[in-house]
Amino acid sequence: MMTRLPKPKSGAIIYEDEKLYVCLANYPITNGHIVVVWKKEVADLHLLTDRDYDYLMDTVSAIRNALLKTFKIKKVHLIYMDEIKHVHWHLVPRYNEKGTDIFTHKPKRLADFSMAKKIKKNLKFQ
Amino acid sequence: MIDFANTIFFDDGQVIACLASNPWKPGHTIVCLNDASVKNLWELSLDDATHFWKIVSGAQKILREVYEAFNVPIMYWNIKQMSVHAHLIPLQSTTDDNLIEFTKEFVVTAVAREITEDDLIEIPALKRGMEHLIQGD
Repeated sequence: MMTRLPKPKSGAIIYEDEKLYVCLANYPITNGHIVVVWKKEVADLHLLTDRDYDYLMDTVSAIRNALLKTFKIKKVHLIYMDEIKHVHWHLVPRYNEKGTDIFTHKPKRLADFSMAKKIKKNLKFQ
Repeated sequence: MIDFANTIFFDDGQVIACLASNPWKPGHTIVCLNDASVKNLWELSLDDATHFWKIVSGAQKILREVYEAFNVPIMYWNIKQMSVHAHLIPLQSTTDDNLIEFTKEFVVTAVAREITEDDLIEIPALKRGMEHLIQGD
């Protein structure tokens, strides 16, 4: 199976290790929209081992905290769309908007890569 | 009016999985923490958060099987100051793998309705599925 996940742009990577990578979304729906991607092509969350699942969610948690700090916001939506059968989470910062209004946004091609460095600076693992 | 207790298909005292009272799609499920004082997932200890996500992942698997879903998105909106909960929504198809188009399919255009007796038909299968999953854990 070939993954349908787009390759992250150079400069968009925030964190990477042997298991996963974290990057700015190529087509963000809000400023700071992040994707946490499991490198190995695993089709669904429950197919991860407990250890790997914990590792993934710990990373999601750390990234979420970094987003809160970087953008001085109170909320981050966690979205597992399950749309392309490759484990990945979307983390979408919520600014001053009601409910699910962010999903009326039109995605725009990522242009500002400077955010990656700022988020990285605030990234701390427990 | 459906009794909330009849919508529950998993409850271990810490985490509850139930059908949504205003579903967007058949099988729309809420996995929630059984502690209304916790407003945010990140107030939980690492162990409790891990447990929560494991039930979410398990429920997703069972929903996929029971509803023969093409996919089951998980959404932790963190919108209202309610107890910690995630939405799981079985979908039969998707028109686009683009996040925004995909989400419009059910978040923006979906109209919530009241849950009915017909929605409860799969509760026994969901209960069995979760029991098997937990026993095999």
